[in-house]
This record gives sequence, C-alpha cells and structure tokens, in this order.
Amino acid sequence: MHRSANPDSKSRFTRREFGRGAVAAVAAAALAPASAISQRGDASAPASPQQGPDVSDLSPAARAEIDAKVENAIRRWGDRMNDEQKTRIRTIITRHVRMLETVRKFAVKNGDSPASVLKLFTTTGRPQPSAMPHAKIPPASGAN
Amino acid sequence: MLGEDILYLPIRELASRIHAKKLSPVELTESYLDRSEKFGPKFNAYVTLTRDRAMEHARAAEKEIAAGHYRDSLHGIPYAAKDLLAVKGYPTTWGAKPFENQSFDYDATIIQRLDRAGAILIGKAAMIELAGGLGYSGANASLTGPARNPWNTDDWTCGSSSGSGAIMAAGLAGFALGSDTRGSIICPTTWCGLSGMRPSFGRVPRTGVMAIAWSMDKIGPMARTADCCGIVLGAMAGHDPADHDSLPDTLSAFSYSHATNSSRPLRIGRVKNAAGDSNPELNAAVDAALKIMEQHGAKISEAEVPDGPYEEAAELIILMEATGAFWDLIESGRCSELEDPLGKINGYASMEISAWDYLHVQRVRTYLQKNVDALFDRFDVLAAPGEGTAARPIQPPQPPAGGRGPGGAGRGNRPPDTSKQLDGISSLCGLPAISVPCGFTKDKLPIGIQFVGRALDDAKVLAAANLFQSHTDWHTKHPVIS
Repeated sequence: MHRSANPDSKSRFTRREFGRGAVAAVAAAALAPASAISQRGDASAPASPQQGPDVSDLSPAARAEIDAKVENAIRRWGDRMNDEQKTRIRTIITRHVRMLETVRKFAVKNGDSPASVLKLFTTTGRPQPSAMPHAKIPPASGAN
Repeated sequence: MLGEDILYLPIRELASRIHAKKLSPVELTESYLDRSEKFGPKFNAYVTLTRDRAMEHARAAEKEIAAGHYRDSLHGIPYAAKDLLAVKGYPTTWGAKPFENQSFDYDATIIQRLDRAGAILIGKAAMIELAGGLGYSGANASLTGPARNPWNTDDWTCGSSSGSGAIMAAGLAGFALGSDTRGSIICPTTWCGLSGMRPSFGRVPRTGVMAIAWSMDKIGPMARTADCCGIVLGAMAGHDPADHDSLPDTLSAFSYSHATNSSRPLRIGRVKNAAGDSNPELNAAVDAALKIMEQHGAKISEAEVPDGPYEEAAELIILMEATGAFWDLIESGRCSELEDPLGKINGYASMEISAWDYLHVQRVRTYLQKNVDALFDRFDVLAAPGEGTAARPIQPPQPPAGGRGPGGAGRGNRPPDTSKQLDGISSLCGLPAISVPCGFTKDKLPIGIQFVGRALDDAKVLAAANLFQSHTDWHTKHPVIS
C-alpha cells in the first residue's frame, strides 16, 4: 500500500496556495448569516425551499449538490418542517457544502488514513493498546 | 457563611487550611451551597444543587481529616460538574428539554475519581443544550436560560460550559468541570476571567459523559489558577478501560508538579496569524503578559500556524459525529423540543453529508495534526489571546448561520472571525491548552492568554501558565457580587 512520505509534495498545490483559497471560502461562509437575511428579504413573507443564500460564487456542481441535498432533506423530513425551517435548511446545507468544498480541495493519497479515532502525535511514539483488563461497563445509555 | 476572602481562594490555599484543620470542609461546603442558592439563579449558573450528597461527603471528609486520614489536595474541596456528567440519584439533563427528566444509576468515571480524591460535588452546572451538539445560535439555547457573566450580567459567559464559567466567576465553588469539543472550556474560561484547561485528548475518561463528537470530546477543569487545574487534572487523568478512546496509563496518567523552574528556558511561540490577532486591546494584553514571562526567563519568538482548513474540518467532524450521537433525537423528531431554532433542524441537514466526506475530513485532519505538531519542534508552547474578543452581550437567537453557530462550532453569538482560532486548531488536533487571565478591556471585561502545547505535554502548558501567574495577580481579581 502506498503511503505518502511527503505531505508537501510538489505534485500538489502548496499549503500557502491552499490557504489563500481557503480563506476566501471561509470568509464567504462567515458572512452566511448576514447574506441569508438580505436574501430572504421580508421575514414575514412566505418562504419556499428554493429561497436561500447567494450561491453565485459556487461552482455549478456545488450548486447542484446543494439543490439535491435540500431536495432530499425535505423529501425525507419536510413533513416536520414549516416554510421558514425549509428555507433554513437550504441556508444550513449551503454552509455545509461551502465547508466541504474547502476541505475537498485538500488532496490526500491512497495510504493517508483517517483520524476517525484521534491518534496523538507524541515524541515517544504512538499510543499502544492498553494491556489493562476490561472494567465493568455501565449500562448502555448513550451517556458516554 | 464564609466570606469571599475564603471562597475565592485557590485550591492549594483552601487545602492547606483544611489540612491544618483551620478550615472545616462542612463549613466550606455549606458556604458554597448557601452562596450558590443565593446567587446561582441570578447568573443561571446551576441546573441542580446536590446538597444532600454534598453534605454527606463533607461530613465524611471532616471526620476522616480529624482522624488524621488526609488524602490529598482535593480532600474537602467543593466543586460543580457540568450537567453532562452522570451522577447517580440526580437528574442529568444535558441542558436540554428532551432530557430534563433523565437520570442514570451510576456516576461518571470522573465523578468516581474525584470522590476518591475526597472532592465534594455540590451541584450540576448549567450548560448549552447538548453542549451545542446539534448547533445553537445564542446564549438562550439552554434548559435554564442564558448564563449571565458575573463581570457584567448583560453579557454571556460563553458556551457550552456556560454555567461552569458563571459558577467560578461568582465564587460559588472551589472548582468546576467543563467539557470542550471545540472551545467550550477555553472560551468561558477567558470570558469569565478564570484559569481553565482542556487536557490532551484521551487523557481524561469520558465514561458517563454525554458524547457530542467521539473523536473530539474532552473534559477539563475550570478554576482560579493554573495550579488548581494541575491538581484537578492529576486526580482525573488516567486510563479508563470503559472509554474507547482513553489512552493507556503510560500516556494518560498525569503526575502534577507545581515547579516552575526548568533546566532550560521555556520556548514560547507568539502566534501572530490566528484569529483575534486583529484586536489591538487583546493583543496588547497578551504581549504585555509575554514580556513579563520573558523577564523571568522565557524565550519569546513569533510563530505562524500553518495554513489549513482547521475550522471547517472541526465543524464538519462535529456535525457528522453529533448526528450519530444524537440520532435517536433526530429520528424521533424530538429535536424540535430543543430551544434553539438551529438545533431543531440542524441534524436533518447534517444527515446529507456523505460518509465519503466524513472520511476525507478525517484524512485531512491527520495532515493538519502533523503540520501543527511540527511547530513544537521549535516551541514548548504557543501563545495567543484566549479568545478573539472579550465577553459579548446576550442576544436573542440569531438568524440561521447554516452551521453550528454564527461564530463557528456551536458557540452561539461569538464573532465570525473564527477562521483560524488557536483553540479551534488545538481542539481539532487534541492538543492541551489553558487560558488564564492577563488583563481587562476598557469595559472592565477579562482578557485571557492561551497556551497550547504538544500532544500529551500538558505539563508544559501548566508550567507556562504557572510561570506567568507566579509573577502576576490577574488571577486574584474577581467581580463584585451582590
């Protein structure tokens, strides 16, 4: 299995280049609340799922992704939402997609494993599995 | 009731008096309980006071100490725990309406450990609902209303450990516990003028603690001084076989030493490209603090955090893991019972994020960890303002931010300048951090300085804060409570 030895390989854009793009994307995301208000206009007017934040800066693929996700969320959960909440769902999903677009630009290679369970980097090496015996686990509760 | 001259003392001084039998654990516990009953409601600080349990433990502590069986520095010290830690015999509401009648028939591992150390639980601290797990847009997102900042009751304490912040600033307990998924200890600590620490990920057990994001949740102390934090961390840390992410004892156990002397100068990297750097008032206080540290042997130089999508990665991970953690609430539709307009529907939107995206974010996270870790080849700790602003006013729920909160990962009305916050970076990477007070704004609100260390180098973080506090007295200031 391939493992990338050099995260800053010249085959990809540099972190600095990446950062410039990311900052622009984040700035857009940070403005989402204000832009959402201005886009919505009169707050008392009936809302529709198609109303929402300005996405003109996003790629057609990203805009299509937002539309598809909004449609799916409303198909699945729409009977629980009023018109205002349906508009909010679009705003929320738009922000999600903006963040995802930023992270997706960050290239990874085949052997780059996820930190799904966080592994700390230490000067003494990676943590080893515990040799301690298992303790009695409290009743299942979802409270861990 | 004991006076503020006692109730605002740090743990070491309370312990010294208790050990010398000059201070009664029973009287101390009663005083904190009475003061909490009197002032707690003013700040919306507590969900529940555990008076019966507290007095039983206080009497036991007093009896043991009188018999010459003094355990250690926490013996007889009253504390409050964020209401996401299970405590047998009392409600554990997670700060949320759907769980207001929830209780557990066991104590969280941390509660058990603090019991063994002789500390006395006096109450369950108020918090943001689900600790912001499904997002929130304002300080009102809590079963008990907005926590009010004792420095200015029009201001918020910050979240999600909002009650813990109010309790400590108002002198209602000897220390408090908070939880930090992305900034929820560091922010209320800073805004309330406290010393509070987020330990390295995996060092403190979470069994019996509500989960938001399994790969990011940490529990830590909020107290008067860094020394207090070290004492509490020493009692809480260590492997817990029931916590899947708990590190083995060889890595998680923590033996705290207050010593500030070191064989070589502390190397501090002053981060200049993190959020908050644009606030001159905060910057000036932090630079003045570092000047003092330099005068006492520290070496200060500039550090730059590598570019990367830290905030996006942290927020996306929390959104996705919280959707799993609170799936029952989302699927049943009971999320509609949450207070915050965002929390009512955010889970539905998060369901649309794909498994591929989750894995990709977690793979990017590994890179970000490596890049940030490399900084610690040159520095023992990084330093920056504790937060990008001082405390901000309590506001009604904000318009939809499309995420976990206008200011980032579920932190209510924090400013939007969170693109690269040092506490966000360190939260994502599981690094230890502490914030301690270092001044006041012109509006007389606390300013904090934050130190972040390499993974598992919690001792360096404490050493830096101890060095600063041994030459300053900002940590002795407290608001006027009446």
